[in-house]
Amino acid sequence: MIIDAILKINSNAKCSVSGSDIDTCEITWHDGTTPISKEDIKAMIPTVEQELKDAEQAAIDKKASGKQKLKDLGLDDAEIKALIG
Amino acid sequence: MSSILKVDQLQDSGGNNIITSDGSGNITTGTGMGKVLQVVGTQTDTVFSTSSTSFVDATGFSLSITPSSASNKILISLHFMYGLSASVASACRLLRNTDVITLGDPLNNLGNVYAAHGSTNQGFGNFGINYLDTPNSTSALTYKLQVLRGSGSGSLHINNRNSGTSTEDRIGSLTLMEVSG
Repeated sequence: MIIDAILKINSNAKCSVSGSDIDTCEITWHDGTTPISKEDIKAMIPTVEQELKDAEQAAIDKKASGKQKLKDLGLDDAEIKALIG
Repeated sequence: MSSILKVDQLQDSGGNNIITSDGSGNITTGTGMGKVLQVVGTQTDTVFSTSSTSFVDATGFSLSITPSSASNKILISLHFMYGLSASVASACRLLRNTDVITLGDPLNNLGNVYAAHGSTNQGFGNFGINYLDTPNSTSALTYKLQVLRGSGSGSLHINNRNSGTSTEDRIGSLTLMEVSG
């Protein structure tokens, strides 16, 4: 999550993060990447969290709509399960 | 009445040492008695994430051992969960001190952690190997895991699938066993 927030700020950032708490984690910047302050990273985390939730929900919605379209084509639940599990 | 038999050496009928003691409780045994002589291990639930496209040390996966004989081998057991934030190929390798332990792969990779999937979804899995190393040394050896994020964008995570949820943190382990040669 922390590194995703970093990449949201700078998509080309090369870095490593040890730990999952922004206040205590250790960030190492590689290949001359300009460091980003923890405050800026912290501010970006809610945005990344929301995007992650949205993406997961979108995947759920897509699966549901795909199933419905298969049903609309006449497939029963067993056939759909055989196709997509 | 119990008895105590005190000896410092046992030999077979051919005069070959089977078991020898230095008198202080330190035992050595003859060849052909394959066994584990010492075991060291480390476990970590520290989540390590990287976007580096060159190999970097993974926190918590470093361990030292000193073989008692140059003819002995080191059995390495490495296990961890990984996650990928996007469609990206990643890789890992093990180092013995500064030397890459290679399995013959031209990239010196022990293995690839890879997932191909939609650009917004995550991929995750488990990685584990057992590798018998022949260091030919009696010096202290430090084994460590290095990882990189390969092609594509996003990041590689060790000990979490990149959920950002600490309840999904997992424990990775590195165990070294000195085995008689």
